[in-house]
Amino acid sequence: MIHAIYRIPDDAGSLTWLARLPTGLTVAKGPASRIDWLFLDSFDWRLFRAGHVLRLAERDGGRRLEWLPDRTAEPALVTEWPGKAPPSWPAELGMSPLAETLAAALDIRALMPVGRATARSREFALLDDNEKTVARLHEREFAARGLAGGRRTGRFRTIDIDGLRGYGKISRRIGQAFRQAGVAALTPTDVVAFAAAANGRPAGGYSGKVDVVLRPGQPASSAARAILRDLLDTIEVNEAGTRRDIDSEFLHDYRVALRRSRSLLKHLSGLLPEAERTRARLRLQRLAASTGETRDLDVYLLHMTEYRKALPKRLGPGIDVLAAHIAAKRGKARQRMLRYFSARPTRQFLADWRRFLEQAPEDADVEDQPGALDFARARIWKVYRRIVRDGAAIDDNSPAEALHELRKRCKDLRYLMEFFRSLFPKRDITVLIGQLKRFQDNLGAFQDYAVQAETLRAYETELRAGDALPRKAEEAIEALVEQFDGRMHAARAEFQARFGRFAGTENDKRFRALFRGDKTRKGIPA
Amino acid sequence: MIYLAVHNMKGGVGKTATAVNLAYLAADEGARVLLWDLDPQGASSFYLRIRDKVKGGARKLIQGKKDLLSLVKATDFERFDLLPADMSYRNFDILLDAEKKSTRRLRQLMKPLGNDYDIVLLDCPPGLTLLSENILRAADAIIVPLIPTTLSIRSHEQTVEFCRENDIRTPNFLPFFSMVDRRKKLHRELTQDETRKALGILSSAIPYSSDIERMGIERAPVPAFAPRTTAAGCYRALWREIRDRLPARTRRA
Repeated sequence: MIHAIYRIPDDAGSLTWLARLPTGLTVAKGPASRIDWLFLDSFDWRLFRAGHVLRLAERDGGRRLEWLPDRTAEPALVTEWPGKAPPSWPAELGMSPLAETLAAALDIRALMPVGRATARSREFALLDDNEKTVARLHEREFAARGLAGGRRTGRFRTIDIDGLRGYGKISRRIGQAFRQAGVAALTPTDVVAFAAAANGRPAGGYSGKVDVVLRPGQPASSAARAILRDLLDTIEVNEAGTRRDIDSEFLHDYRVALRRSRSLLKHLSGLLPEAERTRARLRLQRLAASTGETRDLDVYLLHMTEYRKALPKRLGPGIDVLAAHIAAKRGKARQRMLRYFSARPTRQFLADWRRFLEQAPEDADVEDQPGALDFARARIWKVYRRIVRDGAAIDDNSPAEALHELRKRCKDLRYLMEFFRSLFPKRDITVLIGQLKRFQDNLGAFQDYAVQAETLRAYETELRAGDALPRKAEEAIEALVEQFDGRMHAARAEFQARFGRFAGTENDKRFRALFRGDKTRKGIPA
Repeated sequence: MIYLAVHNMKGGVGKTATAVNLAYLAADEGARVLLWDLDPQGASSFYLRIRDKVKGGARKLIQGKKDLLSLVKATDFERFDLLPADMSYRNFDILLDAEKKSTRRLRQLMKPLGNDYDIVLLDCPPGLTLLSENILRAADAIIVPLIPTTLSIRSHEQTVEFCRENDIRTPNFLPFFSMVDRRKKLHRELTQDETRKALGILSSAIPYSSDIERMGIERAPVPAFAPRTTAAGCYRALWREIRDRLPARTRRA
């Protein structure tokens, strides 16, 4: 059992270490070995962020998956993994505690290699006066390699204290001596960070969220370019994962970044050159449209497990028919989408768009711009007021379209608040985004169930037309549609209460305090 | 988890050497093994270079006031741990007698070890005491080293008789010949196949060997410090034979 890991400063030799050990112990040099660790995580670093490490360890020709949860230095679960390729999904590990743990940590994201580290390792046994081993030290010198090839970058040396059962006191004394010498204690995630950096993707560096730090007085168009650049980065990295079909979230994040870009562009009239703005809106909209069908089908495939649970067991074969139908459609839809991705106008636009966003703003943008803070407050306040007005007008007799419109405006508001969150006090903006999110969940539920019911009916028609609709599939679809209708109505019934909470006095005060512009200020576009 | 015991009411038959070497071989094969040195002489502990001292002594242990796992020491060998001996173990009988269900107390105490070990091997002191009865009741199999002499075989028969009389659910006895000296006529006669089979004794035998005596100097299991010797080979053969006789699953989880 490994007690702790410490980083050895680059200029220190082994002897420096051994000299720091508590007295009364002798050191016996043990065998040397090689370690090869391939670290696995989701694209958005779900394991790393939670302090977990999953590595495929290769030693003496054997391969095993080692799971080190919560920054612990010792694998808590180990599974033999004879395959050459690492697993992508927990289900590939069969019914095992590791598969369950991983499935919970990853949810719908797949595993992928995120870094590789190889080490030469040397063991030292510490002996007491009976020459009994009371602790082992492992000195390791890591070299990280890019996943694609043999590029070696950096050196990283560690020393592990491998505590033995019944001799914890000695391990603790060694650790204490190391800490007193000012040595940094590490966790296995630090080794992941080292390996990932060498691979060119910093550990924890990606999240689907917009993360741009703005200055209040920065010209609005320069702030907007910074946000749009961040979104374009997200679009590009997720295109690669979408092409490789690693999991459904690449396409999801890709689409969200497109939608966010379009949402922001709507507000930039008069700030960016009109020709570029119009072209970008159109191109981004077409790009989004090219992904719609694949995404819808992804969503149904993700829901399959839930559908199965919602229906009696005997309708299982009916769900199978539906799943096969959707999977076949998805294959074709993906081909169409990827063709659009590769089409010359798409490539040309994305290249132009990056060039445009990376230009110095003063070259092209409108002069006499408002500052980023004033701009953000004005736009957020305006959209918020509109939502309050429209929401108040909705009653039980309003058409579904009214709710759909309101939902879109809420997305718009949410995006604006997230783009510019760095300009506002962290606590206030977080509370308001949280409130908005809860209201959106209600609107989203209504919309989701309405769309799911409608689409399932469409699939039913398609299957029937192809003479491929067994009785059980029809029953399954009917049962699901009925459930969705019920949930849709439940969401609708909740709307008034949810809206009341969102637009209530307390929240309204917060919005007012944070975003209501000073009317005497000039230059804020309406 | 499976419980094994090395027991013979007669002393000086090679119990400790058997326990240490078999525990080592089982761990070497991949099993997580705990050897419990129940003999107050602490010979197993000595062989493994571990001090024969247990915090709180036998009293706290039997009364369940001390977590067994907290007393365990790692040996120098992977997956092989030791619960050391303590001089106070000589009072085991008195302490056991004070407990409820005194003949089953040991088994109850060892229950929590199941998560950490695949095999718990008990190295027992000689005698046929209350502790012995606990061990006979607790173990899934009893490994019995027998010197090929009349008295040694008789002592084994006495143990079997004792079990029958005390209604101890017939334990799985695995007797084998130990300290066999080919130069002695009686040893040669008793270890002959017909005699051996008639007595239900395993075919693997351990010779009288200076390599085994060297355990006291090397303070390590024979297969660890002298892996290519005849003695090491005999222990390996013995472990294979025992392993194949063990129940496929533990009877009581």
